[in-house]
Amino acid sequence: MPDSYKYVGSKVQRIDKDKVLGGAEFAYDFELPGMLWAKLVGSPYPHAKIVSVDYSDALKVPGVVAVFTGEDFPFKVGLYAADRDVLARKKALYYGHPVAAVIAESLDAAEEAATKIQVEYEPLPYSLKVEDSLKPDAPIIHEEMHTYKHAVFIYPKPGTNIAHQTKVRKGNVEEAFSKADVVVEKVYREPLLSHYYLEPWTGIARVRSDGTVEVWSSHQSPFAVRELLSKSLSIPMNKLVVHHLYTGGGFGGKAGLLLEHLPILFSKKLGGRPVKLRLTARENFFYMAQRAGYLIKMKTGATKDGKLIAHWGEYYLDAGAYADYTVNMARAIGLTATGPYEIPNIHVDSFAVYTNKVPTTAFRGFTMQELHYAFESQIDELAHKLGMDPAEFRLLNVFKPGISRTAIGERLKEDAGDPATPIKEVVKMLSEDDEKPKKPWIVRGKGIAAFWKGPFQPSSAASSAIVKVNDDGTVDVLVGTGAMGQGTITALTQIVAEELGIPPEIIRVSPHRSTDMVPYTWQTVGSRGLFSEGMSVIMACEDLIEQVREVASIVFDVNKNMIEYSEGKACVKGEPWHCITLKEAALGYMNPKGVTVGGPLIGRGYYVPPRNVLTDPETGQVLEEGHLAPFYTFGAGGVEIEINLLTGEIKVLKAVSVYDTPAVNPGLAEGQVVGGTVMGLNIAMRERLIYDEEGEYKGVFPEGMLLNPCLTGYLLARASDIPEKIEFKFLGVKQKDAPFGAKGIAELTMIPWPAALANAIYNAIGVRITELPITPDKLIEEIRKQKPELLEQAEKYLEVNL
Amino acid sequence: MSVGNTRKESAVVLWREYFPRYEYFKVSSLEEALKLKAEYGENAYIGAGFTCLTRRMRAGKIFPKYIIDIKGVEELKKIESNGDEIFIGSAVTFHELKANSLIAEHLPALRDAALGYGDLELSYRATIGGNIGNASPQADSAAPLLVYRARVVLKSLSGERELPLEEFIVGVNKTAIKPDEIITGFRIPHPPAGSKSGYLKFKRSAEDRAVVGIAALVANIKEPSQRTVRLAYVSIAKTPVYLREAEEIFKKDEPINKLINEAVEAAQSKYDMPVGKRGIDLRATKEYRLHLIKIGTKALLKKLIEGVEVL
Amino acid sequence: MKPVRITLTVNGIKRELDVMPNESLLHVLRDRLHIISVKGNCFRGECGICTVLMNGRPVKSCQVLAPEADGSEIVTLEGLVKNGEPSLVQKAFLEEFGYQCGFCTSAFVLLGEWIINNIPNPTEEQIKEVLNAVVCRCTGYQQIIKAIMKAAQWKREGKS
Repeated sequence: MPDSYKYVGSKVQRIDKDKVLGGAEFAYDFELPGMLWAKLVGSPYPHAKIVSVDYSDALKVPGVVAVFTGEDFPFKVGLYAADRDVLARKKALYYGHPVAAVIAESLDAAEEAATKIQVEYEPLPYSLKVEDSLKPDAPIIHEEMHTYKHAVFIYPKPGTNIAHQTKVRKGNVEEAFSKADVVVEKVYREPLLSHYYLEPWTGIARVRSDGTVEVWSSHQSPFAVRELLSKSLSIPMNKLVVHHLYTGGGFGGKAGLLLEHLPILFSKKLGGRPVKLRLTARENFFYMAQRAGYLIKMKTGATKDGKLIAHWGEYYLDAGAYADYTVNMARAIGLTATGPYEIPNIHVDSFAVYTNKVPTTAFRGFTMQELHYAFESQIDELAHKLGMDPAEFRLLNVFKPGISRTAIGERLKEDAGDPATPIKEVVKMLSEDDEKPKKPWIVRGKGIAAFWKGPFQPSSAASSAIVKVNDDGTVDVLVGTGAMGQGTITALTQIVAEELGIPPEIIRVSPHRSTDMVPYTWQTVGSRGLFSEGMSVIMACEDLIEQVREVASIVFDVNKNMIEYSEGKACVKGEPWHCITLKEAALGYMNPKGVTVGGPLIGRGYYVPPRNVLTDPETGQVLEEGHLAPFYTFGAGGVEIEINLLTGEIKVLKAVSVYDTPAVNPGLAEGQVVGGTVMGLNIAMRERLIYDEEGEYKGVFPEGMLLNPCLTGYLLARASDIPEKIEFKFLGVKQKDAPFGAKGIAELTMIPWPAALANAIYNAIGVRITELPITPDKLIEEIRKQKPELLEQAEKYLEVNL
Repeated sequence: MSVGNTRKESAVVLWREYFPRYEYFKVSSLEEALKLKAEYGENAYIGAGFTCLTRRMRAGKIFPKYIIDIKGVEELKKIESNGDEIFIGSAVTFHELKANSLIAEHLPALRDAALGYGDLELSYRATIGGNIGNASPQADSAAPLLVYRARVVLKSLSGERELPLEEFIVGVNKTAIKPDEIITGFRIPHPPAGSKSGYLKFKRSAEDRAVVGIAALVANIKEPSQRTVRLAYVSIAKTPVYLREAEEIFKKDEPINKLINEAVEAAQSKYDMPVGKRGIDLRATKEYRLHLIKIGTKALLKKLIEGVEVL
Repeated sequence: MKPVRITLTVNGIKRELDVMPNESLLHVLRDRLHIISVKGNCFRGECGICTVLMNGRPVKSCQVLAPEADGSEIVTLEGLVKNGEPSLVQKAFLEEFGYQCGFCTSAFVLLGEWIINNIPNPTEEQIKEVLNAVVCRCTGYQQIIKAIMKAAQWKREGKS
């Protein structure tokens, strides 16, 4: 950011200070008088017919008001496909699938009664693997798929377990492979993951006597929640108010269809009394959707002069029992199939496949981390096979804005960004210090990965903003974006301050909002928040400034083009004594004789992505010249690691990343980068949801159960686990139609790490890992398979000298 | 689970915030606790930090009718030496173990285990009595206590008895304690003069239980006939393992590295995690744990014998 | 199960309450005293976000049985702002962007208080050791660590 800006580009403190000072309210904390508590109970089988539910004993517990089962709500709900029962009905589709709900006067009573519900089941064959779900004799998880309502761009295959397929066809792949000098073909596996946001999902709903439904819940996007509930429950939007308080983290896990329909439906059945459903972390693992697992098959070819010419792929997403956002993610990974590189010949199919696991949904990065892990490993392998430097090889093939066409035939805008410089910068930042490890059983390695991502949203995804001036000259900004920690509301404050030339202290962007009080925005996902709301807010400020200039031109009786606005006032050019301040014009300007000009100042702005287009279902190519996303952020990341050849432990000495975009607030941007780096590396090294896919644990754990739904089983990074050094740069390359040139970064910060880590391991010891997470046991196993001599050499250092 | 047959089962309550209903007693003397235990037997749960109890109650695994809080009993908080033996009361917390000078001086392996245990907050609450009494396969303190030949002191109204730790833990979450008994503490003979001991814990993140934990004690290493080498392991079997074979192996007059390899093989043969390639706790593959037994045993012995730290 | 009468001093105010044995200190603080900065998540003693200072020491309040807390002194985030003035740790968290979603923030601020009161000149490593008790999914910890380093420095310099 140039110095010419006063607020944009500087470290303005976060405006959500109550999180530190006390009083910050989340849905978790929200209560209403007369509120009831709900508790869910789950299926003990991964796939079973529900014959009957006996809750007579539960009803006897003092304080219990009602028990509901699937039969009470005989309809389906869903995001892109209505594939979900309100509570499991007829069949349970995974272990933990909610089969009943107890409603009681207190949580304690609800919990006590929950232990007294008996269900009669008839177990059915089940599938815990994509490969099994695709077999011809696989148990069909959604037998009634042909009846499901679904979005026009989702293509389910009734009679199978395929929830969606996307095709990308470009050029002639077979012919291209025959011309390739080197080909790399690999299979990559990435497990199901948990977002593990810290606020477990919570929702409170009530139905007012006039039929208005109100809901307070932990979500990313109030308007998305409203849209889904309105469609699923047939409630008109003017009778449905979604309230947004602070949300305790989302990472994509609170973006799809959540659980608001449960307390709403319970409240409706109970005369409108408020009902609260608040999950514990373990319940959140089963009742909320997690991230899909991935099976990625890739074959990529290049010529000996280093040009990528062919790519074939089959990408399978393990969608679990309900596919929520995962169907659209299968679309995303297909349509961006080849990372930030131009390849003329492409043949890719991507699938979302149902299994009897927990439901799945969006996750920070929306398949881009998963894709880049596989694709950036391929790129490194190809470079090594060609005898080329991996960075050089990348630079030969990376997109050239204004010239390159992407996998779907989209031509990148001239100001789309800078894909190349981040790669060069990352290499420089990694090579700055080159110390040797002090111990011979420890080896060092460096690896890089390039990346790109734009928000994968409907071509029409709109947002809007209102900027109001209060009587005293302070300003209220109304936006629909969610506040789950990213800091968008702080950055928007800076943008309004810059646009209106007033200090941030007199601007308020409320962290809380209700859908009937603020203007629309589609979603708070895809790193689009600051970009889309930023554009809307800028337009609203411009609209407001026009209004002040209009008033000033009337008051001073000059042509409007004689009025200039700056620093919170509109003045006649060259006559700084003829000015009207925002405060004076706030409610309309009253002259000394009592005549009022204008009225309350309300600026309105909106943003709709220009020329965003749909793709052809058979080829995945854009239907006309246009774009898939309003921006793409380009970048690269790299790590320097130490591998302990005795234990297989990896220590990240340095994690560096470079982004082409400017940052609106360096303090917030640092938070995103550091947080994304730590999360991304932890996913690379530790995280996985474990299922007994091979049937080894029969008789020990309940069949088909998610085996590690806790923090001793699902390991998050702790403070001591973070890299020794985290460094980053924002290059400040501006996109013209972006707020102050800035593009989104929140998800980008997480993308390169698994690939960079795998490449660093290869560069250090020549061992390629194609499955995440790269845990010490896996690394030792792979070294034993690929380079056993390394283990033997290291173990010599353990001999005792007496 | 057989497909096709109908069956009736309780629906799964995945977790709860509130505990099952129980009555709470805070006692200030051992006498009081013993009386309650005599009266309520298995229905009464003894505790001080409740770090494990609270979790197991919420999981629906145990439903104590009575909870007896012993952290106010002074004699269970003692760490003292009579010259021959050190006594550690069962309500001594990990934080107190870390900070105690007797432990630091005489039982460094136990200090290592305390330092590596949990986190600051847990160390203020969790006790050595709970760590052993819960008989978790990963109990950090068990490995050092085994190489120090600790005896568990058990009291009831009818008197006191002692059991070697090896005999006390009999299975996953199972001990030889009787329903009317309370663990009052541990008696630990002073380790041989000039001995060295330590505990090595492998974990997957900063906040993790042991993937494998190894304790070792060595003395008079240069003289085969006088040599003492003791080894113990956690998280390789259903119960903590004291490697009795090691005592004999190291008495042989053969090259030390050969003996170490022999001990490693003996330890690896103790691996007993029922079913599944990642063991019952899913922490790591069997192959990797066997690898860590080898690497860890060698590294720990090298450190104790040569003073050279490899891991 | 009968209610138990306990006395608690919370943020300097002495309170007498009837609690049920089957609730935890977390429930007493949140549900009975409406101290909402104390959050719940795992209820297993693993996530640490229910941390409060109990008799000066950080504990996971979900693990403390309600009757067990009798006679103790509790400090929560709400007790740190004195006469409208935030504590040094709070000020440092604001300056260093030491938080994002805010759900774990109270636990980290309280750990910060414990650190600056017990380790006068903490190293980054020492701070990390203490912070390992609580999990944060947003920040990657670095700005939290910087904030606590800064607060410790201010305290050494006598800033208030």
